[in-house]
Amino acid sequence: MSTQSLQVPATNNYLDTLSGVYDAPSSVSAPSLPPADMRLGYATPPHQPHINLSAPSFEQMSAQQYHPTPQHISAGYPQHPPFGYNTEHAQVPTSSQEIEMHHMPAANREVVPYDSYRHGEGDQWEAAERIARAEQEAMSTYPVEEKVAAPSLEQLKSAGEWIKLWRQQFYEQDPSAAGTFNLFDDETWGSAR
Amino acid sequence: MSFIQKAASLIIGDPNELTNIPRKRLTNHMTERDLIRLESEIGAQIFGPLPHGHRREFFCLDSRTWIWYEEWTDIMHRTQSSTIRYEVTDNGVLKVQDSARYSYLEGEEYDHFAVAVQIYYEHVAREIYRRNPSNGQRLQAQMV
Repeated sequence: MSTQSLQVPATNNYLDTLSGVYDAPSSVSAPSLPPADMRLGYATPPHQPHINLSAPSFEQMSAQQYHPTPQHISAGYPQHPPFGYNTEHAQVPTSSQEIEMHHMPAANREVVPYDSYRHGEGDQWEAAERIARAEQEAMSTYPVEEKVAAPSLEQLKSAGEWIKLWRQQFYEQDPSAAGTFNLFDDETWGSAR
Repeated sequence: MSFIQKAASLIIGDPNELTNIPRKRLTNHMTERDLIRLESEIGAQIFGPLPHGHRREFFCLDSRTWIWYEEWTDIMHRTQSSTIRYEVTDNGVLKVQDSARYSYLEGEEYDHFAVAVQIYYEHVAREIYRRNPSNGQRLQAQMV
């Protein structure tokens, strides 16, 4: 089982060749790669915004859970995420299957029986707690692979569709909150424009 | 304020500070714009530190459109800005610079953009929408 996601070079050699430096407005072309310590949260950026503190909590979000429906899929919504998708992760594991936490640093990866993960007791419960802690860590520490492969066009499309889909769950229950985002609206950029 | 309230405020701080947090960020009633702003805070961090006096936005406008916006003050103290729109089409990623120049991303430039989108996706999924980017499922639901 392999994952294509989050493939980042282990060394800085790749960065040396790809990273660019913003020098003048006219040179703004394609985004350059971020410094090694900011990529994929490999290390906490020095000026991490307070996203984690101000974003809606899980409890707040869970009130508007999104449940994909056939209508969503037939309407062109994505059926699976663009990066690192595989069929084994697309469904809830059965009791005989195992959960492997792919989106963790390799050192923290563990494989535990699903039953012990969900209903564990004693030692099994401790294992489940380790998984939970590792998953929390994975929220800010992403895995690093040795090979870089730029996402394909299809993956880019899918990424945008998933982001759009997740946004919708916040305001689909309040139609008045939805609306076309006007890039050049003064309110969008505040007083800076 | 009672004596007990004053004493408590010395220990736990000003409780009114909690109410200063924009309530919109604490509720479910977030508009598309609000969410894009949150996402853009992450997007702006992807590319490393900003030059002094610059402001940057990078966000997914809709499922096929990505925006890079940069704002700065020139030596004449005039505010300048540049907006680049990236449109993900079936034929490639079309770059529209300041609504005038059109070109498809190629080679290294495409790689930069694609990796930036991937990083953005991974961070936004986890930090804003609390989703596992590899399968789209809610992260904390996996720990139940």
